[in-house]
Amino acid sequence: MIKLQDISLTFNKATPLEKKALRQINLVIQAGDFVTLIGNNGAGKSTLLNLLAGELTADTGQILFDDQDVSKQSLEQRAKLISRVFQDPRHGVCEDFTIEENLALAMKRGKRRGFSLAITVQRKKYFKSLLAETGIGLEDRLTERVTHLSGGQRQALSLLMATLMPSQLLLLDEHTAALDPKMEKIILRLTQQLIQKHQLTTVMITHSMQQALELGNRTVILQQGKVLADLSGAQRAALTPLDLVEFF
Amino acid sequence: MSSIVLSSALQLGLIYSLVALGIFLTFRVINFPDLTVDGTFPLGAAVAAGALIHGFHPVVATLLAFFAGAMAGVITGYLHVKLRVMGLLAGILTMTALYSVNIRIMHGPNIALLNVTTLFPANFSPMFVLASIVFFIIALTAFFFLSEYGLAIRASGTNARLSRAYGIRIGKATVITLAFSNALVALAGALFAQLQGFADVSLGAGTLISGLAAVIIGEAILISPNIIVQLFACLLGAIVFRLAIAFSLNSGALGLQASDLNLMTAGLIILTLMIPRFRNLVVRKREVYD
Repeated sequence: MIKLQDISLTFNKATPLEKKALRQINLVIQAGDFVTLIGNNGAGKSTLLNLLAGELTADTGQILFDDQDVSKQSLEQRAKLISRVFQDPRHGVCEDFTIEENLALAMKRGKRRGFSLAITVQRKKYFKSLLAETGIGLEDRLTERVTHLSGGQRQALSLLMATLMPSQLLLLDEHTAALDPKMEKIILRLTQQLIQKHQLTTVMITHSMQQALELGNRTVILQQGKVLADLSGAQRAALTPLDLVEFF
Repeated sequence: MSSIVLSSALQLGLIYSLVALGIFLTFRVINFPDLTVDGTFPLGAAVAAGALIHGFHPVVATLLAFFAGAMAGVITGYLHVKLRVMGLLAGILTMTALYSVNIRIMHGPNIALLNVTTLFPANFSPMFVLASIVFFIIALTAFFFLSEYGLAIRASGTNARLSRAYGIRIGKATVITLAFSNALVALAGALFAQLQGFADVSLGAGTLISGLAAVIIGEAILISPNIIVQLFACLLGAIVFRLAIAFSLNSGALGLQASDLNLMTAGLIILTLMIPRFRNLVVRKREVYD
């Protein structure tokens, strides 16, 4: 269970540019929840995600992972608990690396990295089978550089990297926003497939009202740094994307 | 070119391949333009020469130089990582400080290594000693980059955000790479001093630029995304660079003198940097005619 208690964050404090990005957010995410996070530009979606990841630190409030306070932990320290797929396909992979090097890098997320071989015969086999499962045709291209991959293929790889090792929270930052509609569908399907396979607790930012309702079991709407609505169960099931727009 | 000139160029090439490796680690792998090396090369020479005249075994003297270089790298790293000094400036600061340190170590601006046993005994081929050391170092570096931590260091240089999200501490990776890089350059300095029979505080001038030249030439000859090939490209680049210099200094027709070296090096680097552009021009022209 992940708890956000009284989280507030203000950018450019005490300057004319002061912006209250998050105001006393309280949120409990149960293990296994798949939360879709929506809201206008500047509502605080990305700030909240970056705060969970550890890229930002809150001014006040606590973040608890199963009663362990991680609010003061750095991004690197939280890597054990949290995995992430970025919006920009260039951010979620190492471009100069081959596919297998990227996956090998992800194998040690949040763990000590020693001097044993990063790429072994067994790992190659494992990576190959994982890639084959995704059905995006990368299984025979392990030693190819990521520079040669399309945006969609990179996001698929990035997803695979993020879910390679167990985590308590998967963060998806509009990870299909840069893709064409066909690829978007494929990546969303893969996302669901991987989340189900690993029973992952997930928070996903999206701009699509349809995605917000179709995916996951819960939708949180942010507005001006506050939780405007927290929808789940029958209430959420009865909503259409148009109803959702009414909230804004 | 006489065979003496040729073999001395090859020996220098082997020594400077260690400098090239060091430069490759910082400039290419972690994307850190480290200027410390102009101070670390004479530091290695000074420490090794100083230890030798105090009666240390050549192997010990060389290892001392290696660790002294690592220390210099750590200092630059800490200046950058902990004190947030800009990378370029951090290197310049350490390099500047090392000038004084090197004179202190040698109790003067230079040391002549007369009648001391070095790593290059008279009855043994220096080429063999050098080649063994260089191949050992390349093998060590290659092994390092095939490891989990080596992969993490490479990642930290190409995608810092992703690396941090996967738990890699960029600061630590930077300090370790700077330490290893400068240790290699100091080792080159130590070998240079023992081969040439002297250490001098001014040895460092141009270390960075000749190392960079070797890296760039190597990259132009061996184009590969494979890190192991890239390491060998440093060796190849350093040797080609030294041969090119020996050739142009020794061919009377060009009328060059030893002091023209820096001008030539700069010119050669510029020329090598232009190669990809020329290549593009040629390809484009062909497309037009097709």
